[in-house]
Amino acid sequence: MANEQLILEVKEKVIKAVNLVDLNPEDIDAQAPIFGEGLGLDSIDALEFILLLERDYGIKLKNPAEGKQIFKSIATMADYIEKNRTK
Amino acid sequence: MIVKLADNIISPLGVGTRENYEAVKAGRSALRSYPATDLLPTGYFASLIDDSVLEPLYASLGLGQESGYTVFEKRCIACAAAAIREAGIDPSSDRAIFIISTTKANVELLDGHADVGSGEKASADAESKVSADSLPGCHHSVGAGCADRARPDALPDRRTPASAALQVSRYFGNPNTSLVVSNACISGLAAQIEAMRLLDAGTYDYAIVIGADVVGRFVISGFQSLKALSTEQCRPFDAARCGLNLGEAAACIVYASSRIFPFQDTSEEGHEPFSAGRDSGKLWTSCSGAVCNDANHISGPSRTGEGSYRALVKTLGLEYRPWQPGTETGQDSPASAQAPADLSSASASLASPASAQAPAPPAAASAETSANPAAQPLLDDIAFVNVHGTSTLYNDEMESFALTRAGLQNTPVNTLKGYFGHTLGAAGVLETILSMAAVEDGTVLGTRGFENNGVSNPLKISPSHGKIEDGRHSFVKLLSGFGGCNAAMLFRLESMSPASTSCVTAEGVERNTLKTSNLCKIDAAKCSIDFQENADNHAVALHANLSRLHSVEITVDGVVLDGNKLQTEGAGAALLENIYRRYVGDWPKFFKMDPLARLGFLASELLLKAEANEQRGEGNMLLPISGQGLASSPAAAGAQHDCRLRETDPRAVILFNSSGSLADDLNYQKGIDGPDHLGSPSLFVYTLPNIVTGEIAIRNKYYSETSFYCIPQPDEALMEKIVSQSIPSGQSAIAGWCECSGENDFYAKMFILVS
Repeated sequence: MANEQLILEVKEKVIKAVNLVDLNPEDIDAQAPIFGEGLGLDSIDALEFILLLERDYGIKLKNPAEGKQIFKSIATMADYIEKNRTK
Repeated sequence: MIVKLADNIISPLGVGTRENYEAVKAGRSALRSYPATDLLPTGYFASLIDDSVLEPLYASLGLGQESGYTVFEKRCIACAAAAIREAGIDPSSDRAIFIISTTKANVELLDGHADVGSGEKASADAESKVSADSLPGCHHSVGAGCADRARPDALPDRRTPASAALQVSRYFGNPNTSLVVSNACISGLAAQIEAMRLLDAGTYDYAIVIGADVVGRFVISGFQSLKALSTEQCRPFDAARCGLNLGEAAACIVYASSRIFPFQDTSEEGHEPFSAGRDSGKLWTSCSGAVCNDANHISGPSRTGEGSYRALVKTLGLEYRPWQPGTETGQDSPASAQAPADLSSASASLASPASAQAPAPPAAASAETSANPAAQPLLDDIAFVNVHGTSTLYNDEMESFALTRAGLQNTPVNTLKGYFGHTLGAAGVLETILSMAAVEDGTVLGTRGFENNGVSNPLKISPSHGKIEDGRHSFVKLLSGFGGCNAAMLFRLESMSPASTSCVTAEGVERNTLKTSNLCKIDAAKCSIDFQENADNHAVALHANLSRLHSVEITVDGVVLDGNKLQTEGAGAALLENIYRRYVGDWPKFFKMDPLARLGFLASELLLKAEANEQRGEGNMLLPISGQGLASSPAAAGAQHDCRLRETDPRAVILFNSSGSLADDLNYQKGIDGPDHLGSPSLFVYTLPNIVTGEIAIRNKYYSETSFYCIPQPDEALMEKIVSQSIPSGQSAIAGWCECSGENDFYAKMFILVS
């Protein structure tokens, strides 16, 4: 389980990456699904997250399909970043 | 009806239609692997033009290194020059119009590095780089014509598509405002459809349609960010397909209006037209085509092929049948609304694999197709359908639905992407020309890269060339693109007897007659006089008058709706957000849009609210969606939607500007010039200006035409002419000028127009 600070950081980056202008980090449940009903995101947003991983954490996904598991929730994303980050 | 006079292709497979067709016939492809570079950290597979090979050709046309023309302009001019020569028309006539199909025109001017592709490209582009002035009001007088050809006129910002197109038409001394059709990947067909409208209406007698795009770092990195590129040779419709290959080409078709078709014998001038077929008494014609949006997602096609199917229905005169899924409801599965398929994509697997959530195939469709009896003779004449077939998971799947719904699952289908890659703005023109050559050759070209069926609705598709069934002389061309747009067009090889011939239309009526006996070697001006006298009713019908029902003007510091100044706060980007919060409030996607899409979207929303107010008899004062002037809840805002058009009412969205998506282009370029050389995928999608038309279609479920044109200035007469020719009598459009040169620098003047 990633630490609270990283979870907060990921929430902030997600909000910025996909322009969730009316949302604050505390409005997002770290365990809740990001896609589908959750935040109303779609596949282009998923691509923005891939970019975010690469640019901010130096993680290059070999297979974009991995994203499906990684981007399940803020918590899974933070966990993945913690384990794989190179910067 | 339009008649093809001549055509030409420049591609990595050769120069000239004959050379390209023969290369394809021999099974050759120029697709190859390009290694990673500092600026493009990931390698890619593409088919790119080496301009150094074309230098002698360029030099012979006064387009040499010192000429100041960009790579894009050179390719357009060089390609068109040969086609115009073969057609034997005078390109400087005011009866001729240049229509340029491109998605990114001179985008390479933004790239200071420009090291992708040939080295020549970089230096030529750097030379012609221009500083960022404000957007142009161009003078487009003929100027010195041929004498001064060697140097492009000092047009304002060459980075704008409108300026790039003027460069091309001015080279040929053409006095008219050239049109840029910027409708993402369907541009090549949309441009030919626009040519048909302008010629049918008698606005012009000749149209020079040019399709081209330069594939450099901007475009490659963009498609990489979308995870849309295959790392190997693309495999359209194959079970193992995993993305597209980009390609470069320039292609040109010269069309004449059927009324003034000049039966010139070009042989005496020493030309030997390969594909025009004039010597054989056969001519390529078209009298039917359509553009339809699928109102689904800006980068993901409808799962049921809705827009492409509707374009086929309109083009072929089929009877429209709503999607009747076994277990689904609505036209698109709920799954696709939440996690839309990415048109492009390997990334589609992020959402869901095609096989898992695709709607059930229309299995019954084979038994009960949507053919209507009047359309049957026309269907029986179709030799093949040349589809878009990009080799992305979702595009090919979508097309299999559209074709099956249209009853074309037993008609041979092919795609040429395995030979040329996806040539973007050139694709529609290039693939049309080669399909014409194939029909003349009695051949259904094979789909290179295809082995095993990988779509839900198997099509009649083969990797090897086949023979066209005897007696078939037509083909259908399909394209689909970002912004949800789809296009279909029907072409027919007519036997031209000296007396007359006819074109069977979708309605099964004789729409036009070629009176070849009246045709002679006359100049374009004289032709136009003859034509005016003999104009038939059909042309007049297309020239219906437009009425303006509502108007909106948005400047950086305020809004005027139907003549009344709206209460707003702020200026620039803040103004747009204020308009959204005050008057719209229930479409959070607004915040994901780029400034151009925000501007066009808000203008359309205000127009629709004014229309709804009028329908409710509430006068023309638009009130904020809550007493406080800010959206209290989406539900409150949504209540105003009750008076919108019903989903079934056709309404087109046709917008214009000069700069295309230049503001976004600059932003995207900034990203790839950054330390990581990474571009934002969503921003890249918005570097197609027609996305704004898609946003409006999605919001309102408009399944009609969506089009985007670039012209130098907000010429209302020209815009209204184009719109009036685009919509049938009795139908309406949201249309007008929508220009954005930065987050805080924009101007829109849009209307609801009814024909």
